[in-house]
Order: sequence, then structure tokens, then C-alpha cells
Amino acid sequence: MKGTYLGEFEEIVLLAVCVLHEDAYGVSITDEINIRTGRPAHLSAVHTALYRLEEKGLVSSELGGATQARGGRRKRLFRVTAAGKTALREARELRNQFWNRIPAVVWEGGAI
Amino acid sequence: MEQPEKTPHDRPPRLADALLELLFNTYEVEEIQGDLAELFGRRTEDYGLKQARRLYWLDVLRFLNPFARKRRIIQPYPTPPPLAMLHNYLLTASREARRNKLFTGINLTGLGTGLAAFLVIVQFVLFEKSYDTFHQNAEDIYRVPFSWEPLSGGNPDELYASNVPAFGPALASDFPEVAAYTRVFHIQTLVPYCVLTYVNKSGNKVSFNESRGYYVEPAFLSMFSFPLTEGDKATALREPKTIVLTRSAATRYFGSENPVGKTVDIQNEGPSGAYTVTGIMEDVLRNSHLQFDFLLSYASLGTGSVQKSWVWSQFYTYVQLRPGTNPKALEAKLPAFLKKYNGEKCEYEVFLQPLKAIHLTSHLRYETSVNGSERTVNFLLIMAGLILVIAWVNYVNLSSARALERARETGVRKAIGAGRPALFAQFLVQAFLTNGMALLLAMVLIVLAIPLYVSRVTGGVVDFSLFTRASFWLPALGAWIAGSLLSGIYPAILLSSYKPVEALKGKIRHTAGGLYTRKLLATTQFAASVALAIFTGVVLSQFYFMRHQDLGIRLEQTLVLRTPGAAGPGSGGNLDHFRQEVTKPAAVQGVAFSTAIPGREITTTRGMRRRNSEQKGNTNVFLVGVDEKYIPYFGLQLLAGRGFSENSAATDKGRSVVLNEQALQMVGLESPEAAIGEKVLLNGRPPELTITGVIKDYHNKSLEHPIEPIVLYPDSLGEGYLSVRIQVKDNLPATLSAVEKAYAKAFPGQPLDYFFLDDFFNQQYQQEARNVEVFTLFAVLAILIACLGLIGLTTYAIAGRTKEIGVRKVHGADTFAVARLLLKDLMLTVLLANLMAWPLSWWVVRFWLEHYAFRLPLSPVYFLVPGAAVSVIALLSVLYQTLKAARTRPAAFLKEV
Repeated sequence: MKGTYLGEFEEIVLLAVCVLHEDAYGVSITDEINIRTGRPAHLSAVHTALYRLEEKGLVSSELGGATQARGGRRKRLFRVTAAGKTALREARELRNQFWNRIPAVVWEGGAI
Repeated sequence: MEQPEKTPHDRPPRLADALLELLFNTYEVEEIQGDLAELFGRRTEDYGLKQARRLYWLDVLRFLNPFARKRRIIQPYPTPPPLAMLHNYLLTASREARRNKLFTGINLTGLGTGLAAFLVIVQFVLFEKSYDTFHQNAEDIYRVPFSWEPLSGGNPDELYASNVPAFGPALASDFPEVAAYTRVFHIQTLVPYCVLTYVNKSGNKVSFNESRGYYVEPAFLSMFSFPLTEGDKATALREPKTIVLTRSAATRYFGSENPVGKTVDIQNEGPSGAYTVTGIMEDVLRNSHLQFDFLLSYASLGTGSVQKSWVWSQFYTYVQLRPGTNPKALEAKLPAFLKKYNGEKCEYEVFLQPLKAIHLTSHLRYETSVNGSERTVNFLLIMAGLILVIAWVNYVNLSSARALERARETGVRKAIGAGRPALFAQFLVQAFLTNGMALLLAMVLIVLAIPLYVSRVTGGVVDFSLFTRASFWLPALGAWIAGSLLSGIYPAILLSSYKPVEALKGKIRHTAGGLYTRKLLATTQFAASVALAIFTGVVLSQFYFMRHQDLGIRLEQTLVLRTPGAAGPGSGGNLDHFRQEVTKPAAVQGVAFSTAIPGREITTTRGMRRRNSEQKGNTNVFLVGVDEKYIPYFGLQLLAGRGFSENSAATDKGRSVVLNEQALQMVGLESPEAAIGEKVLLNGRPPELTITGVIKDYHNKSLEHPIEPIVLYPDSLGEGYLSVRIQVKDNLPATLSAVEKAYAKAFPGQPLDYFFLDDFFNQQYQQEARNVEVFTLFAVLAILIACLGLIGLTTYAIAGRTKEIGVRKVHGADTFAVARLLLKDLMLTVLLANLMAWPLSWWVVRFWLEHYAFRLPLSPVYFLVPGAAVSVIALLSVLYQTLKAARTRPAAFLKEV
């Protein structure tokens, strides 16, 4: 389905939201991705992905948690929705199906 | 990128923040800036301030990536889609309308009548402006009028719509930019008749005296777009003695048969005989300044020397220039052209008049038909516009006066989340609704008014087909939208401006500014009404003045008959025979003959000067051939000398003339007495004529026009008009049939048509009469609508002061004192309105009167009376409410919370 198709980066962001549970917002998610994947994700890209996910209904958000470090500004905290969980499971299922169908010989013979 | 400011250093770059604020909405900015600030703090510790600031900028710039999706604002209360609220707006507006019947009534009546008047007038104006636009070549066709005098500084009365016959051909041969030309010669130029005889279906000869016809050249049919349904436009009018009929003329003469090839017999001065029908054309549209039932070939007039005349100025000349020709450039070459043919001393001039401009702007001598008046059209438009504006002002005033009542509604709406734009939209929707309903009402009014009134005053131009035309709907929708915006914006601004807390607490008071605005609007509105009343009063008085001024000539009880054209050489005898016959009945009191009658342009003109005088300038006089009864019959007053009499008939004929004062002045004679016996020459040629009498000036035309120099001479041909004075009070049908019998006896077989001279003369005032009627209606409407507005405003003023009235009454004020208090404001408004209206209307009225040769003597009465009348009407209209309020027992007011 086009609407719920999950891009690779989106999937990572969504996973990060799940991992960070209750404390998922722009900076923390960016940090998480940077640390786990080792590739430099930019804040703007993360924001864009989050907004897109929110539009798709895979995450929900609320404002909260103003801190001194943020100059008294609130952060938008994201939380995975039921639809988001389903989307993640489906993505994982899809991969598993492919994994399961790879003939053992592929691994044994090594690459060409 | 360097940061312009130095301190404080430990904060993110402001410029970058500002950039973010510019591009993202508040919610987004908060979280983005928060995130960035967090990163910034961390980076400052890790990499130092400078690097942190640099990275901050980089991050911000990344947010500028157009692909960076903005977050859709998800608010706690979602904004409904714009149209969803429309239903609610309409609902509240219609509830509002039903609740305040008085205001709805005032608004609808005012806007409805205003719109109806406006839309009808727009139709009429569009029609007037559409004259001659149906010709495909209209842009390139010009009429060439002719002036006997230099155009600048000359006498504008000497401008003729027509030209000399030699002009057209010479112009076409000298200037290649002239693509085509046609001369147009009216059939009744030479003689006041054109008897057309045809054989009808049952084989009987039928004769009519026709006046709607022209001699035209073949080019006429290809220059103008009068489409032929039968015949070939290139050849139809090429041969002498050919005629092209309009469809309805053809049907009248020949019924359903195809008349092409048939003949009609035409008796006209020169070219009489059988004319062959060579074509049929569509009926001439009403918006053509040339109106006719048939066209005769110009070739029928012959090729005599007269066709080469450079002095006989009765041939309308139309030229078609090649596309792209600059008419001004051609015009500039014309003086030299005229000199080439007329010698260096030639004084007369010509100019080019665009075809489409003729109907509204041309008011020359000898026009082909009664033209419209741009002046009237503009005034009508202005007046209709004023009424509309007065109605709009009512809406503005009443809506803003009621703003207080609706403040609470505004407060509630704002409290539950409506923004100012939403409220603004709401009040605009209300204005659109009211104006839309007014438009419907206007259409109902138009439908009712068309058969009763509109059709008549617009001469049938505006009828029910109106509603099928885009030219109705576009102005209607335009007026609706413009009206809704103009009248809706101020109340919408006012009402949407209230602060919710104050509105809900009921703390909103009318501001002095708002009150001032309303008073100013009401005063202006009233000033406009007063000005309209004054203007209409003057138009009416001028009309009355013209109609009741002593003309210096007795037109009453006069029946005018045309002498027959076919009377031939023996007509003199027949005329005498008729005179004897017609005076037999006791009811017939007199009969006189003349070649021209009052109320109609005198078509015979000559240049006249005294013998041995070197008179310069205009010498044009108007000649009227008369019999010896003419002067006494019409009660013309002899100032000196004698008229023509039977005793002196032999010596008078071809020798004597009687001049009016204008003619006397023109030949440079001072006193009537001194003029008797003086000799004058016509066109500088013998015979010498002796002035035997001088008559007092009389009005030969309407008082719109100046008195012309008129010369009476004894006529011997008997081709013209017979005026028969009859006792109208006696048995009119019997008298008329006696006159008819006498005519039939004297001129057997000749068609007889007659009319009453005073009616005929007054036809010149037809347009004036219509103006008077329409202007009066407009003035009444304007005053009515303005008074409705006053009633509304007064109601509100009283409602706002009930407690004050109560307190005053408790303290002993009587009804009169309270009424005076309440009326004081109104009096001031009305007085100020009068002061505003007087100078304005003075200027307008002067402009209006400038047009007339004989003007109403203006006096302050014309300003004071309408001003006072309108003021009294205004006072009366609010008197009821005022007295009601002043009489109410104070307890009733004071008990209210």
C-alpha cells in the first residue's frame, strides 16, 4: 500500500522512536541514529521524516519537556502508534520471508 | 558566514533564528529551535563556541531544503474547511434578518429600489452608447459636417450635419486614404412631401406621404452594414429610379409577394416617376442614427449642375477611410483642400465626425434624427449611482449602529476560537446575503415596472428580454459584489475588532469615532438627496418654463395639413378652392399657408446682406414662404411696416420681405422703423428685395435653441403646409371630417395626413419630458431611501437613550422638551446636509442649464424650497418614533435592567 510504505530511513527513525520510548524527540532520535548506524543523520532530515511519519499516522506527538538547555522551549515528543507498530512488524515480516527463502547454498558457496 | 554581533557569544546566531521564524510557523519554530539549542549547547562544550555557531548555521540552512517537509499544524481545535462555516454564517445572517424586521426592511427596500433603478438605467445607457456600433466598418466611417464659418470662434449654430454635394466626390478623388464615400439626401429636403403610390393586391392604387427615406449612392450599402436579403448590394442602387425597401416596408406595400422587379410611383420635387424595387433589406435597427423605410438611388437626382454645388449644404456626406488612416492628419489637410476648390477667400470649414459618436455627441443643425444626449445619459448614470450609494450607506450605518447588539455574539465566537478573519468573513457573508436578496427584489421590481413605467420612459428599449442578456447580468453581479464589499467591509472591520473579554462583559461602547462616521455618512447621504431634489426641481422648472413661455406665435387649435405634391402647376387654384371649402364650417376660424411650420427645422436658407454693404461673417437666414394670412393668423407682432396683403400681392411677389429682429440685426440694421424700405440681396444676386415689415422675434423651435434670423416672403408655389384653425371644443370629429372633405374636393386622390401644431411643436420636448419624469422618480427614490435610513438611525439613537429619557422625564421634562432633545441631532444633520448640497447643486444646475438658449432665471428659491421640503420630510419621517419615545411613561424605561 502506497500510503503506509515505509522507506528505509523512515523505518530507522521509527525504530529509534520505539527504542527511545517516552523520550523520542528530534535530538535524541538523531543521536540514536548517529550512534547505531554510524552515519551522520541531520536534524532536518529527522524532522522531515518524523513529520511524514506523523502524517501517515505511524507516530503521534505531543509537546512537552521544556528544559534550560533548550532555552525554555518545549520539545515535541513522539510515540509509535498501533499503526506504526504494525508497519514495523510488516516490514520485518517481509524481510524474514526473503531471508527464509534464501537457499542455504548461497551462504555456503560464498559470493561468486 | 560571520556573525555581525559580538555579545553575548554563548548563544545561537540570532540571524539564523530569525530565518527559521520567517519560514516556519510558531509550533515548528519552537521545537526546531529547541532541538537546535540543545545541540548548540552540547557542541559548544565539545568543539567550542565558534564551531557550534557554524554548525548551527549549517543545520538551519539544511532546514531550508525545500524538500524538508513542514509539519501540518495539528491544533487542539481543528479549523473547519472554509465552506463548512458558510452554512452557519448564512444561518445566523438569516436569523438576524428575521429578528430585525425593521432593518431588514429598510435595507432591502433601499438596496432593491436602488439596484432596480441602476440596472434599468445601465441598460438604457448601454443602448444609447451602442448606436451605430453594428456597422462592421464603424471604426473607419466618418460623417463630414459643414460649417459656414471658421470652426474656432464661429457661431456653433452654423454647424450643419450635412455638407455640400461637390465635397464627397472631390475629397475621394484628391485623397487616396478615402476608401469610399456616400452622399445621403433626405427625400423631404426640397419639398415637404414624398408621395409614394403603389398598387395593392386588390389592384387599387394606394398613396402614402412618406418621410423615412433617403437618396443614397451605391457605396452606401457596402460602407454601412444594412444587410440585403434580396438583391445585390453592389448594383442595387446604381441605376436611376431604383429603390431598396426594408422588409417591413416591403410587406406593407406588397404583402408576402417578392417585390423585387415591381415598381412604386414616387412624387417628389425633382425625380418623380416609377421606381423599380431592386432589393430588400433587413429593417433598420433602432440603434442606428440613420432611420429609414426605403432608399432611393442617388442617380435619380440627376447629374445637373446643382450636383457640383459648393454652397448647397443639405447633403449628408459619409466617408470611409482606409484602415489605419489617421483622421486628424486628414482633417489637417482639409482647409487647403477647400481653398483649392473655393478660392482663397473661402471661409467655411469641415471636420470629421466618427460615426459612433454621432448619436450622443452631435447636436448640429439638420441632424438626420433626434439624437441622444450624452449629458442626459451621464446625469442618469450619476443619479442611479447616487441612489445606489445612498442605499449602501444605509446598510453601513444600520449595521454599524447595531454592532453593539452583536458584540456578544462576536465575543462568544472569538472565545470558542474564531479568528478575526473568520468573523470578517461572517459579516461579509451577511452583506452578500442582504445584497443578494436586494438583487432578487430589484429583479421583481424591474419585472413589475417594465409594463408600468420602464418600457415607456425608455421608449421600449428596456423590455423583458433584459434578463436574457449578459449586459444585464454582468452589471447586476458587479453591483452585487461591489455593493456587498463596499457596504460590508466597514461593519465587518468594526464588528470583528471587538476584544472577546470586553464584548462578553458588555463593556463595548459606541466609540465617538464610530458615531462620527455614521453622522458623517448620514449627512452626506442627505446632502446627496437634497442636491438631487434641487437639481430635479430646476430640471422641472426649466421644462415648465420652456413649455409655458410666450412663444410669440399662436400655435393653439391649429390643424396642419400638407399640400399635395402632385398638385402641379395649377395648385395655386386648388389651394384657393381648398381655402374656400375649408372655411365654410363655423368651427373653422382661419387658414394660412406657409412653406415651413414652427417646430420643424426651416430647410430653406440663403445668405442675405444689404445692398452695397460689405458685410462680413455669417449671413445665413432662414426663409419661410407665406401667404397674406400668415402673419395675422399666427399672431406675429409687427414692430414696423406692414405684412403682406392681398392688395399689394402683385407688387410684393418676389419683391418684398418681412424680417424678424434677429435677421434685422444680422444685416446690421438698428431700429425696425429705419429698416423699412431698405434693400437686401439673397446670395448676392438680384432681384433686390425691399424690407416692408419687421416682426418681433418668435420661437420657431424649442426654447432649447436660440431664435434664428427668419425672413418671410410671399410664396407663389403653394408647396408646404396649410394651417387650419378650428374650434376644438366644438364637435371635433365633425370638423375634422369637414376638413377632410374639403381636402378631397380640392385635391382629389391625394393622401391627407394632418396633425395638431401645438402637439407637433411640443414633440421637441419629448426628451425633456422623459428626463423630468425619470429625474423626478430618482429624486423621490433617493429621498425615500435616505429617510428610511434616518428612521433606522433614529430608532437606534432613541433605543440607546431610553434611560436618559426616563430620568429626564422623572425630573420634569415634558414631551415637547424630550422630542426637541431627540430631534436636535437630526436637525443638525439636515441643516449641514443642506449647506453641503447648495454649493454642489448650484454648480451642477448651472452646468445643466448652460445647454439651453433660454434659461430659467435662477433664484435662491430653487435651492431653499427643495432643501426645506426634504428637511421637513426627514423630520416628519422620524416624528412618530420620537413622539412615541417622548410620550412613554418613564417607568417603562427605568424598569429595564
